[in-house]
Amino acid sequence: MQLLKSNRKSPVFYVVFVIFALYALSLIFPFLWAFMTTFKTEGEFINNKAYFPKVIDWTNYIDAFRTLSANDTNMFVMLFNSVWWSVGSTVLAVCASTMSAYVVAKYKFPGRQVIYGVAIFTMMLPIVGAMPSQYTVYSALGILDNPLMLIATIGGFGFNFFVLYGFFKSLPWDYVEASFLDGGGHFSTMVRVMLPMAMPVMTSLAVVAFIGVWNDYNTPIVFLENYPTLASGLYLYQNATMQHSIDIPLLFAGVLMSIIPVVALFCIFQNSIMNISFGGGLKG
Amino acid sequence: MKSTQFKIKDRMPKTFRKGMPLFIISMLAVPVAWFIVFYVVVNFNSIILAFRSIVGVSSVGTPVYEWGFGNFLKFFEDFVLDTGDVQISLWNTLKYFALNVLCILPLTYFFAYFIYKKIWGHKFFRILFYMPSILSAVTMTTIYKNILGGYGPIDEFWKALTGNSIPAFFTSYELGTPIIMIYQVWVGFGVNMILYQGAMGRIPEEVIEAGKLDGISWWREMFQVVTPMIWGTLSTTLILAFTGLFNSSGPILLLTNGAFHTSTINFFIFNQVYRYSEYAYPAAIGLFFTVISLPIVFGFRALMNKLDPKVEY
Repeated sequence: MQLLKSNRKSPVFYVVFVIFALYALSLIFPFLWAFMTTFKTEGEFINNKAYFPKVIDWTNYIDAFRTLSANDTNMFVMLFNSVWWSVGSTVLAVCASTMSAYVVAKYKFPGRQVIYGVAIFTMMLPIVGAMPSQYTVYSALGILDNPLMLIATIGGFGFNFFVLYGFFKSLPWDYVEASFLDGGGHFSTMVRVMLPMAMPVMTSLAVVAFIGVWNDYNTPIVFLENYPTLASGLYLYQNATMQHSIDIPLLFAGVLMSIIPVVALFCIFQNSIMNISFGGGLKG
Repeated sequence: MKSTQFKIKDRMPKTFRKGMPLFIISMLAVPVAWFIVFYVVVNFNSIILAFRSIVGVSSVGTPVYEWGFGNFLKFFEDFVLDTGDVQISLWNTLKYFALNVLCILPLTYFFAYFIYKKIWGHKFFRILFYMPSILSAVTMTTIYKNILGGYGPIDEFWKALTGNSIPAFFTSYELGTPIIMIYQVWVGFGVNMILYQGAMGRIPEEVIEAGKLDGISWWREMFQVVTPMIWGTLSTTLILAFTGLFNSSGPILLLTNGAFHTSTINFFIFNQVYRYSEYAYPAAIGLFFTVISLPIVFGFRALMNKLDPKVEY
């Protein structure tokens, strides 16, 4: 077996390969075990933790929707909450960043440098513990535990801003000029000419943002108490149930189902997700 | 490349200059308004909260405040007298920070190098090692806890082998934080690994070839050729690690709920809000650590810029 394409003689590569393989196993094995466990009944699991189930029975996947609940919300509703919360905040965040990045990158106006500078500066500030203040401000705004919490996720000058700013900066202005000469206005030029070109970047950013929000349990736990998402709800369920009385196979069916959308998105957008990873890094 | 910056004077037909201010304002209105309310006001409010304590209730039922350093004094008192989890939270935070800078980042770099050198199976490893950073922490910790916890499969195997149970990792004062740290390493390579690999992929082939002709070993290639070539990326990840110094933590809530001396500053502040509905006290703690970390972060940035080998290619 040809183990390496370069440095063929170095034994280090064999050692590292073994380390990689062991680490890979440590990632795969727990998921296989969890998957296998979902086919067991609770009783079967108690007597047989490590070995194969007797029969392949998918009932846990159906029962999970009925049984797993948090704050009187079953898993169907959690799924629904996860969808509107993740889709909503992703759309808002990407739109806001696109608008700000487009204008700051492409138009000269007073204050443009200030906006860019402030955006860089805020990214460098090591702020610890904004949550107490967030809680009181959101409470004053009346958006706590309310779908209006979505507006707190808008942003517009963070990581997405810098990626899109760099992208728009690299687009020649000629396209816009041509559109103007054809009678297009500022807004229609942006929507019809520039945004179609930015679509791949916006899509990658949206996928990354969606995954982040889908997985985030902190925000919904604190700020969306009565709208548990899959992430926060499946934690709250475990927290509210005594450890020994949790039906582990059922719980595993729930937590494994909760990662399906993310895994599907990753399979479709794998390359763009991994390439968007901070292209140029943070310059400043 | 052509100028990409729009110049009003020579490139914009007159008729369109009119609509420009309105367009710019309408595009920036929402992001700027958001920034003012959700960044400026929130952080300003943090400062107000930190310096204000409720001392009573007025005759009409509104709270009466007293301004001063009360919240900070309470924090110092709690720290010195070691009440609550304040002291342990700071030590644990520093442990997670050290783990990140001294173990996870170097290991990530090491992993990235060998994947960059196209070790057998590199495509598969690259994707698999990235997976923990996109899978939900709730799912990962649920499985982790049940596999390593009492009566799990590891425990069963261990019992069959030795006749003894494995230690109760998640309910132990000695092992609680170490087991969360191991979790952090287990899931910690993804994003930075992709980042390092991307940077390594941009190194010109000739540079690597030249080293090969000189017959240098892998570690000399790694440290003396690759490291200076990707310095920009390396220092960015280190600066980000320092920026997050006092936010260093693991998924404490999910694994131990802060019990068994596993709290961190990040978790402590979260818990004050979530469990105790306290806002002023944690805001003061946050402000204190923000101020402390400012010189550290900016000093470290300056140091990194000084160390920059300034390789251009």
